[in-house]
Amino acid sequence: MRDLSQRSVPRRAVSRRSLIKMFIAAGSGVSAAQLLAACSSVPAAPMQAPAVTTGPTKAPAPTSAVAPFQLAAPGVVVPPITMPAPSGAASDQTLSYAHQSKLLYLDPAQESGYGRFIISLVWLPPFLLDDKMNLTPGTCNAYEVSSDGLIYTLHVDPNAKWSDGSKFTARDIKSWIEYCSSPTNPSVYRTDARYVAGHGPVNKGDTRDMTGLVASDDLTLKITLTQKDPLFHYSVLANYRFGGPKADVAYADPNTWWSTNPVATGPFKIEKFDPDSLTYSFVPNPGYWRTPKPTLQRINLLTVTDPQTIVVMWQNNQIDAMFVSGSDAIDVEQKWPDSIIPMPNYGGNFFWSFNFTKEPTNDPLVRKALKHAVDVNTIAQTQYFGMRKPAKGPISPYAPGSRYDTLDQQNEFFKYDPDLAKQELSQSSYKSADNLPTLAITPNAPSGDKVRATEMVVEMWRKNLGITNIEGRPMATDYGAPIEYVKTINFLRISLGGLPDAATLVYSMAHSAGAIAAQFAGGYKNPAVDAAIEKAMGLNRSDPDYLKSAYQAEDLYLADYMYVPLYVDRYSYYAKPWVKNFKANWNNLMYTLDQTYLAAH
Amino acid sequence: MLKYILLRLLAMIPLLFVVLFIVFSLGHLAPGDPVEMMYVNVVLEQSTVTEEQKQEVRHRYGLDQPFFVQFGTYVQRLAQGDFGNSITQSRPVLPMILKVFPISAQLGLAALIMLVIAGIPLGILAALHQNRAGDYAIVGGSLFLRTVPVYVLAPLLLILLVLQFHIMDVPNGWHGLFTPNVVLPVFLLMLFPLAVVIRQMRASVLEVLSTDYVRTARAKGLRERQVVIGHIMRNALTPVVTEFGLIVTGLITGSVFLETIFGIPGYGQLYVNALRQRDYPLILGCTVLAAMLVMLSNLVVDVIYPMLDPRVKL
Repeated sequence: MRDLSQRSVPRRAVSRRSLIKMFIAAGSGVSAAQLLAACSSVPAAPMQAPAVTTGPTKAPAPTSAVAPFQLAAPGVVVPPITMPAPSGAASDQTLSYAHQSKLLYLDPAQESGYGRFIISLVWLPPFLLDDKMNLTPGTCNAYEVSSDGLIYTLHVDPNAKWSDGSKFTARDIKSWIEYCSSPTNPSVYRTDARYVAGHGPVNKGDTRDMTGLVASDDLTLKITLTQKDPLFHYSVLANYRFGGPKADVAYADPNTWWSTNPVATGPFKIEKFDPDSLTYSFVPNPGYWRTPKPTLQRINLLTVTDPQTIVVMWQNNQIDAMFVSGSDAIDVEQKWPDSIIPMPNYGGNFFWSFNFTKEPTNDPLVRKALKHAVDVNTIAQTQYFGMRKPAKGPISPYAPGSRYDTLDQQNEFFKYDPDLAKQELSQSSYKSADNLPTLAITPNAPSGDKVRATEMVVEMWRKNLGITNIEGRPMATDYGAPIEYVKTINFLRISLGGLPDAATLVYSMAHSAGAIAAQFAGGYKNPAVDAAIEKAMGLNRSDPDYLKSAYQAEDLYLADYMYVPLYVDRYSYYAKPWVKNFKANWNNLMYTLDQTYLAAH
Repeated sequence: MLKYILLRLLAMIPLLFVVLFIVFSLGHLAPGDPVEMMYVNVVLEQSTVTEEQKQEVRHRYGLDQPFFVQFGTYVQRLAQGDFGNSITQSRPVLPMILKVFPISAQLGLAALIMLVIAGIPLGILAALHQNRAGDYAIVGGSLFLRTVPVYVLAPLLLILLVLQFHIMDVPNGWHGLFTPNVVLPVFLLMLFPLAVVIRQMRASVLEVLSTDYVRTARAKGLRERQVVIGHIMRNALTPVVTEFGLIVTGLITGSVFLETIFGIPGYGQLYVNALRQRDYPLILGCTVLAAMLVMLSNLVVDVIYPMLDPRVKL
């Protein structure tokens, strides 16, 4: 964690220059653009290509110092992190935390992002992750794995109890996993526990009893898998989705149970959750059964969707901590680098995917030419000022075993070579740019950085290959209804995050059953890639063949030229210097919030 | 009068039906699909959703039915007071709207009162000082404020008032009408229609000023204040009141930008989020409400006419 200094932060006066800058930013209609994009009624219009900036941009060094780590081996649980005891604490321990999205749910079964900051500290999952991906005690304090990797035995902490004082038992874990898999639950994430025996019938709604989950007594849960899953401890045991309320509460009211102050197991409980009035607050759970007890007396969640407003509130010290992302985060990190609280190991890969099935990107030589004509490093540098790494392969630089620093030296895929690109285009079935059918492309986001990056690609294609027949639309959905639009687009910007595990990342991007290949790349399938990924996925992460197979899959995928990389995002929280003991883990959880306090300021 | 009001209320039903049909059709013709919107999040989570799961969601909300069946079902339920369930939030639409509408209504009505208090006197003043400095200042100033979009003006004011002069904190959220948080949003909300009211009032007063009865009033030796309030203002108000019919609807339903900037959980934010997520039942619910508001406010204006001008008969 960064050492946040004790100095008080005076209110910043606004210089005339910054006033003008804000005016220009406001004039550019960021809010308006967001709203217009939200309405998605923006007419299709060809993108105008701007001049490309080729010179280097001076900027702060990337803040990407991430502690080295390895994924925990199955069965290993480490003690929870202990932070320094509060010293010089402020009398008012109310944390004002702001983010930009309206939080609709606080249901672990449905949660997909913004609620994760606290959700696991309201309902503890069996294990919590720390910032180095270690499993630490949640409602359970230990587990064992059988030698064949098919049986997991969880040991519930004997002190664990609900906030109403009732005892927390192994049956509570079992029934919540069953609820998460059941169709009663309106979530679209009902397959996370798919390898647990008996998941299928529960998932179909035929029964509520998952046969692979057996609570032999109050403190022991035996989980039987149908097939070995070397990452089961991440996908289920330390997954925030599998810490929830008493399942009966959720079965009774699956759509709003969290807004009725249900009992909790973690250090905090919900005081108010009302998305209609945007009022959210959390207070300590008086019945919390583990030490230390929270020092914070209240956490108020503020919803500030407008990026300019949140920055003014931040400057005015109305916010103690916040989450912003994308180009807004770049701005904040440039101005207040000391406020960054990184979510370590998370590296969302942003890239443009080629459509494998549509002309002209069905021709591998066209894809090669289009890739080699784009200077990705310049785009990343120009748009992200050195604050974000240019993307490379599917394996994130924040994943153990990443070849990020050497991959581009080994592989022709990463070359920026306009001459080679011209040669490839001339060798393609189209021979020259004049014969290419119109390329349909989209930045697929209303945010300025993504749009500008896409415009730079267009200009590089024009300058290096002479391609001018390009049609660009702001959002993928502007091309047509449902998922059908994917068939129309040649070049679609998308993003992908995930567990920092090499094989999992390659799977998601390149495996024919993965979301990207199956949906956005037009049904990409390379049996050799699939086979290498499947082999890697089934191996223990300590197996010497594991990384070899993951690399093989990545190399084979790169050779198919299915994408153009953009940048690797790194999400962070931002906190004022008086917010102490504040850390975040990979899953966006402020996992030391039970020890966080506000120093006097 | 009562018969007129009842007839107008009855006439709203077919009009509402037409509005519903158009919005329902546009919603279905527009690109995007709520189920796919859910799916986008899943992709980011590296999970996959089967086509069966998507079909199940579509079936749950009747999205797999033919267009006319969906529309018929919706109208049938609406007639029974059932606005349906939000697709993205899986809860009834009507309570959601009823929760946020009073917030926007309070904001809009507060802005309307400020508009009346500021706009009508300024319009009269401008007319009484026609082609003089006061007239230019009032008309020019209000036009300038109208030309600057609220999403430019609001951040500028925030920077000046909050960061530069430290007069206030950034207002965020809704804490009731009678709180300091409301002052800035209401002021900004009022600014856009202010120029319309001022110019309309000015033009109307100028017209009345040249009438015989004003000349007579002055000839009788009435004081200027009595002439302005008793003879000019009342007669000049009729065309301005017509404008208020539309303005009030805009004030209540058109505060989208301000609600976004100040984090006010109002009707505008609800509507925009519904559009963003292709939440058809919520979009339709919001549209029904907006359409009813337009029709009702125009009815109210029509009913007020005879009070201002006895020559008008309903």
